[in-house]
Amino acid sequence: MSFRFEFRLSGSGGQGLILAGKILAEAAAIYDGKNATQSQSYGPEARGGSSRSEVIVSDEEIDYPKAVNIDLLLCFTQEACDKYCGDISKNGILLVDSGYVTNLPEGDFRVFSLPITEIAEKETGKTLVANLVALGMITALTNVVSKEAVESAILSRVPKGTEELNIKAFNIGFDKATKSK
Amino acid sequence: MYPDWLDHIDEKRRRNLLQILEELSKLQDQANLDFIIIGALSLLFNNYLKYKVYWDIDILFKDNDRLTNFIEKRKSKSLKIVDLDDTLMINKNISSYHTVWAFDHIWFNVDYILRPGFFEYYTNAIAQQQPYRAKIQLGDDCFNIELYIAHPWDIIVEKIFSPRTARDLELKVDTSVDLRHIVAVYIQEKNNPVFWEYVFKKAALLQGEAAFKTKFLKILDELTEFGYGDTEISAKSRKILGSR
Repeated sequence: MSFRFEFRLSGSGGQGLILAGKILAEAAAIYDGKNATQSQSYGPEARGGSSRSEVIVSDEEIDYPKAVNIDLLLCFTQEACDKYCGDISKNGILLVDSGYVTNLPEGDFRVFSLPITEIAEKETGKTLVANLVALGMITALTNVVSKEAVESAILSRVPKGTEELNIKAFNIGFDKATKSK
Repeated sequence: MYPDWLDHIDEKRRRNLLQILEELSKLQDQANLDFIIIGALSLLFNNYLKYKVYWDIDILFKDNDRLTNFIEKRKSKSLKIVDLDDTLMINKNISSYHTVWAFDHIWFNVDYILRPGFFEYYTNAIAQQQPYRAKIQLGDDCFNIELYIAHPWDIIVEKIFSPRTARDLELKVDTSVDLRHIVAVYIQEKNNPVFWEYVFKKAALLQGEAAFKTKFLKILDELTEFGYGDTEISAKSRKILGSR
């Protein structure tokens, strides 16, 4: 049976969601041998306005590269959550940063509300790695891309001197989400 | 030929990238240049970047008319283009339109960009520039690429002045793609006097040589904080940049 999984990572510019999307797609395609596309778009005022990264992972060829039936939606802003929650598939997953998204929608999907940015700050001292904490959570919640593949993809994207910090952020997210499942 | 940079493209994606570059070669009006490829691809083609990631294709257009013509221009029947934006995203300093292209089922991000003044910046010495020319053999197929691509040093000058780089420096974004590109070029060219002469000339077209030196020095001073502590800063380059 064919398999297609759609991710949408949404928030505002500067939150590192485009990078997180790229890492996820690279992990799936380059390191896990699956088919994957990653696409991005910004709202007006690219840096500071809305930002959206979509990743599709499939074991078959990907005919259409846009996400239409979201299996996992990550929201780093209330605006993104309000805008995209209607696109989540039945039994899909909504993951939100509870520090930014307080008004949770109801629907036929599972909701994980976790203080992603706060976790990044407390555990690593850097809020900027919240995107990698979220990536760890996504990896654990979906089991679509292997943990090892994502770690390899992270390492190919970050400078040597920050490898430890970024992998730590990813693993913290992975562990927190595993406990929340 | 088989260029080294192709090794840094995921094997599954090589053929499709070459097909897209061949298509862009056909679409580019080289007599009256209408667009130029900017961004990481130029650094990749010139062997500054040696890692395997998903590479995007950034196309900088001369003006809105050229962009419109490009969108309307007839393209190969087997090429599929999907628009990601509903409309051109117009911002203060840059306007962009995001698309994805594929010849089969392997999709590449192709971003159309308008940025006032920057087409002229990238093409100001176009008479002396040559397009990137390559006949690339992949399996049984040969791809003919002849495409104007931004000079990699122009890209570095632009990145040093970029507000995005300034923001990354201020917020200590260690995953900054722009910083990574700047460091990659610096490592190879730091002791090359031709490089320094060139970038100072091009900096004069943007915010000036003095501002360029200040910003470049600031980046070098902070490299360790961004994870590039193993980068050797040459005394020669510090002197050129005016460090005391």
